[in-house]
Amino acid sequence: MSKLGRILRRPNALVGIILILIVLVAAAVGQIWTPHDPVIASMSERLKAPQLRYLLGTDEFGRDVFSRMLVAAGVSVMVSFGTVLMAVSIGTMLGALAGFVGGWFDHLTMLVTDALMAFPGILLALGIMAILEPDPSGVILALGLAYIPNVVRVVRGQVLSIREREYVEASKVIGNGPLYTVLVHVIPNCISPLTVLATSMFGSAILAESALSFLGAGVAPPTPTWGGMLAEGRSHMEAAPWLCIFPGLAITTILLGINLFGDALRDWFDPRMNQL
Amino acid sequence: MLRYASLRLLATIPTLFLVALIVFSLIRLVPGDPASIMIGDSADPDMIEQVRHSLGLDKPLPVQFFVWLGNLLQGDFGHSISTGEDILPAMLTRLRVTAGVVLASIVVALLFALPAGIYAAWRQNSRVDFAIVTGVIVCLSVPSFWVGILLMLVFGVNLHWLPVVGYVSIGDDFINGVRYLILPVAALVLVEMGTVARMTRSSTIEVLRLDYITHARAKGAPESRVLWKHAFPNAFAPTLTVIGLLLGHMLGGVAVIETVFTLPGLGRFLVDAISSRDYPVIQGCLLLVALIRVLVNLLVDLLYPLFDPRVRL
Repeated sequence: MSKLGRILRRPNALVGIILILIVLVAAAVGQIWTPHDPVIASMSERLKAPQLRYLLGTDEFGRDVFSRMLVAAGVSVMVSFGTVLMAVSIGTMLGALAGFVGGWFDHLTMLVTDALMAFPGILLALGIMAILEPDPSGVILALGLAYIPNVVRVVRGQVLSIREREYVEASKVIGNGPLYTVLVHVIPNCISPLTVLATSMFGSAILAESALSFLGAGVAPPTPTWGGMLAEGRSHMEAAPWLCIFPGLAITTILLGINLFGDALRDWFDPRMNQL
Repeated sequence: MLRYASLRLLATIPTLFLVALIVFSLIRLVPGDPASIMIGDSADPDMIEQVRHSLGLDKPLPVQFFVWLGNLLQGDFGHSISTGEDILPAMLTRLRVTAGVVLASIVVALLFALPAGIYAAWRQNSRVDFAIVTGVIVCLSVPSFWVGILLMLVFGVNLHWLPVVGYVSIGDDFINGVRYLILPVAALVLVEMGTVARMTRSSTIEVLRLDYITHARAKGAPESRVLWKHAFPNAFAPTLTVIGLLLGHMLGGVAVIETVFTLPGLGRFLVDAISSRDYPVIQGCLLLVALIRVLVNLLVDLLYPLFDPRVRL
């Protein structure tokens, strides 16, 4: 059996994949169908406990918690995916150029990276959200900017070690331009550390998105978000504890899945695990 | 050593300069006029003009930046738009609350995570190791603000054992101060325990494979001595780096916990400033946190050789 097959068959990785799939399927379903309207209030149905009609109960405006959680799964997955895509694409280009070109461009990139990394990611994103629209693209931009420095560092480090290899020299000698060499010979060699980084970044983006919306600086209501639902649920903790339980459970489910899967992925790319 | 320390200190100056530039630009990127956004569009034009003038917004950008930087260097972070407070003392008061929560949670985390990580490494692949590794993944997967809410629900709302919201300074009333700290610290501690235990485990595993450990065992040293005297000091150096990073990271994570438990800390100061568009406070908080992080990283670098004598400065 291939190494990937063996690693994915470990119970940890398998559980991880199942947990991630549950959330992805929920997110996809939430885009096309929900049992009740996730946004329209219905005051006669407010704060109903979980029951057959409302699987996870209703909130203070009588909206179905289950329907809202399905839609929120979509928001969370989309924002996190967009964040990773933005951070990885921009970060890879910058990191590869800094490592490959060197000189003042490298110095400047590293200086800016260091400065951005001086802020805790979530606070930087909070600060950026203070000037952006509270919609999914705003959150993606804020989180993406906060995550770019991590990618730049990883890719630059990798490029510095690849730069001196013979095949890169060879590519230069036969007259390929630096851009071609970087795209065709350097970046493909960064893929394994980048995959591991992107996976953990996806998890941390899910967490950061929830934290931002919990603080009221994420995607604005009435669009449901897991963090926003937790924040609203706090004021009805005594009467409707389910409002504080299910959204957190959803965040934990996907994070657990990503962490389990990420560990397996790291083992797969770790050359020391070859004799597995 | 002294030379290295001063060089490293000098090297932080460009970083801090850029940090200040980023924080400054952030506010200037606000679409529209910051002054009218801060005090509301309906405000009377004279008042907007007054705010513009007091913030120096009527001068050219480079002038604004250097005037602002000059004030910062003299400890003048400006005044809050919404409360009129002097920002630096206001931040320092709140920093004491934040530092208390963060430091207490890191101490608690280390008490549990260091022994757990070392034990897991010593008994690698045993059932206990498996349990610890699983525990680490769970700790890293549960959002701290959700843990905070659940703890409030169980120990505050249902059992009435501990206060749910508010804050009493330990300095004013020790017993009550501790009671108010227990839940926020417990909420923060999971992710810290997970991070530290994971790092300690993997660095101890690496160290236990080295020849000098085999040598110590061959000499007949008892296992406890091998672990604590021979393996731990070497394994601790990477853990120290992680603790430093964690300390900086927690300055962000604590903002959410302070909001959950309504603690008057630096994080909540920033969150409140963002919702009231109090830009001078946003700038001040971001700057202070970045400054602390840069200094903590510097400190960790300088402490590293104490634990790993192979690293010479």
